[in-house]
Amino acid sequence: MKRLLKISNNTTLVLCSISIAGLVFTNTFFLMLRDKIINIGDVESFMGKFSIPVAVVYFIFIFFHLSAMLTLILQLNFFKRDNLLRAFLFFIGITSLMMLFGDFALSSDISKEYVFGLPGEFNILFFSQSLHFIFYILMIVLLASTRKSVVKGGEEIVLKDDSIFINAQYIGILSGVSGLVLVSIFSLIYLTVYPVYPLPLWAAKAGIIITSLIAIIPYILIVFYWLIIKLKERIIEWYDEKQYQDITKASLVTLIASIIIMTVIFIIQYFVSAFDFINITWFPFYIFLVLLLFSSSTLYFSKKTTS
Amino acid sequence: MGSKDLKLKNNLRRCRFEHNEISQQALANAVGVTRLTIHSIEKGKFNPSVLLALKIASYFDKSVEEIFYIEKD
Repeated sequence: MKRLLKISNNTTLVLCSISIAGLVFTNTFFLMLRDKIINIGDVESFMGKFSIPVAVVYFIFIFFHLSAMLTLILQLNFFKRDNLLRAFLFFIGITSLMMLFGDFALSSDISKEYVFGLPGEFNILFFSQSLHFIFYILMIVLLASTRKSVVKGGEEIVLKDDSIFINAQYIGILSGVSGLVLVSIFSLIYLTVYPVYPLPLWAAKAGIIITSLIAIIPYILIVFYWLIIKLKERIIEWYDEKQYQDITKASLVTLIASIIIMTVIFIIQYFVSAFDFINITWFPFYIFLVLLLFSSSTLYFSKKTTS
Repeated sequence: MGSKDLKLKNNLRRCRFEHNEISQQALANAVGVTRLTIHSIEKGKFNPSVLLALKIASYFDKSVEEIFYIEKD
């Protein structure tokens, strides 16, 4: 395990350094492409010249992301202690990996739409590049800060692991917050764009589903991983008695708070016609609200009793 | 004296010290709970079930009363 983690750490560090250089290259490429479109240059020959090197760099990015995910899972197993940076990296890493595939789709859209002027997809593309950059830099910080512990530290025997439980709550909070923010931003855009350019309902629904999936997938993956570990145990042993008490209290808080918040939103929507968009967004909003309330209250009760 | 004034206290830290300074994790492994649970019991922030209290007492080869006691707040 320790040897595997050392190999994984070193491989990820090398791939991360290459990926940072690759990110500088792709950013330069996108900036030059943007300039070519603004100055009505020869976009097609420019894209043809750089499409293969960019694709190669993106393959390196994908390898790095997979290696980073493996390292994070191995670290979760090795250290047996909750760590906010590790949980954040797991969340942002999965999101960044999904955005890599999004970059392909955006680039393809840009190559088709540039004849009509500067495509708006560039904004999402540069946001995505920033997300990759944050992930790469923080990954280096984590690898550097845990390097000594991996080399010197001994593997601790833990029969009942609490680090996955706590890390899952951190990721639940991140998923909940980002889901609520994304759904709200999407609703706001829908509200402002709709009067000028009526979007078809299917497009609005597809947008909501995609943004919701981006936010929820990291949480689904960590819960799935937790479930794989727990399958070895009997259901009654999945939580210990303090964890049972914490999630019971958290469930009560979630039930009461979600009823109050959803009732307030229902009343507002009933009297303010501008809030009609809730008809399409209420379900993801409810899911992310419940996830945020449950994860944050579980974490609060877990940490409160240990402070 | 109302039941509100009573608080469950314990000598868990001392017991661990007397037991070759056994770690919280090792004790947690022995009684089948997480390290956080042992930590919370030791800090007096979590009251264990009767079963867990018996398991801890049995591990240290002591009676429950020797480890856990009630104190007026």
